[in-house]
Amino acid sequence: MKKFKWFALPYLIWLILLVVLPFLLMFVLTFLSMNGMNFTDAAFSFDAYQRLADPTVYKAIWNSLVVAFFTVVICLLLGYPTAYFISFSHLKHKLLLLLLLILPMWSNSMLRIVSWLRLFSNDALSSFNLVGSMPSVIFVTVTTYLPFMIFPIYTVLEKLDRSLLEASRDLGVPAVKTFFKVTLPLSMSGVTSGIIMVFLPAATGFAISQTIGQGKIRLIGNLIQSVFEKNNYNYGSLLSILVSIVILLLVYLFNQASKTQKQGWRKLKNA
Amino acid sequence: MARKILELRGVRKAYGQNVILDNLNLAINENEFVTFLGPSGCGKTTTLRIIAGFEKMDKGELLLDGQEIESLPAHKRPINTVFQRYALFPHLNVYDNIAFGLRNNIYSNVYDIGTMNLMNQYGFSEEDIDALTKVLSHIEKPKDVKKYVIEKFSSESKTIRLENELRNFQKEHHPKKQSQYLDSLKELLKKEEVSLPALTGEESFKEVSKLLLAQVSKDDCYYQIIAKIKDRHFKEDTIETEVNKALKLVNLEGYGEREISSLSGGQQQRVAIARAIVNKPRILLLDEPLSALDLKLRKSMRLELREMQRKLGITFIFVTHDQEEAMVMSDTVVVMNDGLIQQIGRPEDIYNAPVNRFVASFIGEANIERGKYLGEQKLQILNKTFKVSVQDFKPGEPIYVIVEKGDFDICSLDVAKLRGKVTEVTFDSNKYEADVDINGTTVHIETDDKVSVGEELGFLVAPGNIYCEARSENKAKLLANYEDGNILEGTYLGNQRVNFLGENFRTYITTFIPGEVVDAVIRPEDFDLVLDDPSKALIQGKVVKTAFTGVSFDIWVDADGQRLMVQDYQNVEVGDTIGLHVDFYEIHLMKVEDKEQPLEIQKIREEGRRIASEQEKEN
Repeated sequence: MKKFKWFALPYLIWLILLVVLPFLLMFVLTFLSMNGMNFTDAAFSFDAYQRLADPTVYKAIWNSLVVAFFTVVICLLLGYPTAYFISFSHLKHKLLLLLLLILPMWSNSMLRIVSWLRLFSNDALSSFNLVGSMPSVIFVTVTTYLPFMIFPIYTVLEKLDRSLLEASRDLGVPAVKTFFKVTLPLSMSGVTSGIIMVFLPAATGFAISQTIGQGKIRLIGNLIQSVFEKNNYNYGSLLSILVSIVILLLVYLFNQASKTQKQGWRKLKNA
Repeated sequence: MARKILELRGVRKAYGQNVILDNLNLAINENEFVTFLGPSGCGKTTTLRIIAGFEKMDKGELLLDGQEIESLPAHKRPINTVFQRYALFPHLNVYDNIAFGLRNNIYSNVYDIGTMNLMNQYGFSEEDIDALTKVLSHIEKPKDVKKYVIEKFSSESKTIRLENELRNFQKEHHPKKQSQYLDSLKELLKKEEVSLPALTGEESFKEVSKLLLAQVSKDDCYYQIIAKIKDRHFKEDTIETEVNKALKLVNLEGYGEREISSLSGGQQQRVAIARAIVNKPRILLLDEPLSALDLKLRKSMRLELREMQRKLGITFIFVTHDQEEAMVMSDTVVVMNDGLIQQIGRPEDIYNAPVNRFVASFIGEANIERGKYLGEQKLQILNKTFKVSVQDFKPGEPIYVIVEKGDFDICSLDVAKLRGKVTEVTFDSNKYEADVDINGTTVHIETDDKVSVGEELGFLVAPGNIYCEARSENKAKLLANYEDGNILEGTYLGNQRVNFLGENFRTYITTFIPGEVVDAVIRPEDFDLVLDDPSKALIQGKVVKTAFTGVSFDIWVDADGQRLMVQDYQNVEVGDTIGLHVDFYEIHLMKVEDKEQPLEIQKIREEGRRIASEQEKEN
């Protein structure tokens, strides 16, 4: 394997140029005050940090987490059974079914969001105006990111050794209990990656909340976008870094939790 | 002798046009190591999966202890499987894998096992334990088993009786001061044969009761058992004992905390076996469990499995395509091909007396020669005439029929073929031996079940247990050849039917008609080399090729244009002319299909079949 080490080089260069350097730049920017990316009038300043005292920042982060949380929960409740039934069905055309699920993703996502906007406003089919409400934002987020939940779970279930289920049945465990004792624990890796893949874009996106939320639902993504629009790259960078830290922290905690869950049970049992 | 545990009757299974099993009939005995042997696609795995409950059969019956179990789902059958790739749960460690069934089975017998363990510990007699086991095995849910055991033991427990008495006493007397109630309490205790502990006179009634109960419960094993069963940790404790026992049995003590992924193939195999046997199944199914191991491990596991089966005393059904495995391990081998059972028998019988070309060539190397049976135990193969050992009875010929004493299977009178009265019984090392008068002939039988003098018994005799010998044989010689055989006078009827004790029976005896085309099997190791004077031997041949196999030499000999394979411990040079000798009893004849026979033989055979089917109709 050592021989092929240098194959990773292009990726390393890519990583440094497009991830590490920009991130360092953003970090430097947070300590400066200037207009846009014009470094000529840049001055050292804690302006950006002072603006963190504004409660709207935390309100926006909270909103983002609420939208992301409900999106993840609903995606999980819809996605797991879907993945399960497709994987365990005896259908000949499993792939066709999966194709149908991702088909909407082939069209432009903005287009889809705008279509939902039309459907939700009372000038179209509905007599209610659902635009600008939290549930409608969550609903559209779910429709957008559901495939990201289904696919990792489906992949894991597809790889699940069916003889394990037979073994469980053979040992006298009925189907429902087998699901909770064997299938679910063994598909947790798919569930975990599904949750992370849905949570991240749902928490940081701004297009859906802007279009469907009509400015009434402000997520952290909207805030960052508006700050950047006002050419305040310093504050924008700080907010972006802040969001990254919050999300990294959450993902870390989540991973820790799902990792220690198994060991935790064992410890409890042995205690 | 052995008791039937599992029976398959007329099982048929097809996937679309593809018939996997066709009218499969098979009975498997208790405490036996049975192997299904056959090439891939012969239906052996399908049969196993039908028994386990993973596949539904299209037609037929599946009986366990005479009870139909086809309708039971896999999780309700007292049958466990060791899977080909083990199918161990990767998310659980070794301990939790083995405990999986006991913990999660809704019909888990963990309380049954725990109760038995406790009863053993407290020195209950084996009969008591057996009696309770039998009752408990009919209760489905573990919760109900627990309830039943507690109720049953409560009714026997002195402590619990006393507790109730004291409660009633309190209700009746409202005892306050010792001086007021001590006399009546003493009376009560006298009735229960309990002595009053030393009192200071200051204790309340509650305290006195407590002292009394503590005193009584000390010697009350029922009460102690109840306390243990009621304990919150009882289930897990029992599971722990059982898992550790199972780990010990498979030589994996101390591996409980290991992760499955850290085990070698052989260790995983042992865990898979432990996981299955910890549930105390009636039958253990093993689906080619050794195929994933390397040769050395495979060889040692064979013996270990065999030993395990003996120790556990449960029926093992083992599926393999490896004839060596089947030969080494099994009590009974079932050779299958194309969805049909080709032959059932002990390994040595199947090896020495294969019934057809498929069995002969599948089980080891074999020289199969097409020849002709000339009559009077003479066989023509390789353009020469050989003496062979076949049973050559003519229809209606008087013969000796030998049935060993353990082969009379006792059954209910209405299905019995033979009925007789017991005239004498002796009991010897767990077995009853009896003389039974059947139609005026005294027959010696042996059985596990209790029989008594004067009792009327019904018997069946399986076709494989009826041996036939010519009347010309010496009776003393027959007695030496058969273990406790009943030598009965009988008649050969033709077409595998014999008559003895006044009834007609089916046997597996094969007879040949003079002039019939037959296949003769000679195993390579049954040839003896004649090197000093080859011309004296019956067969002469030229050595074509030799190979050393590690133990012996494989020698290919060209005899009169026929290629023979010979195995011997001494080597010869290629090009040498050698003589070959073969003992008459080493040549085994096999039946050949009708279409290969000359016309007149076909006619005789057809006639025989017609008579047989008519006989069957009459019965």
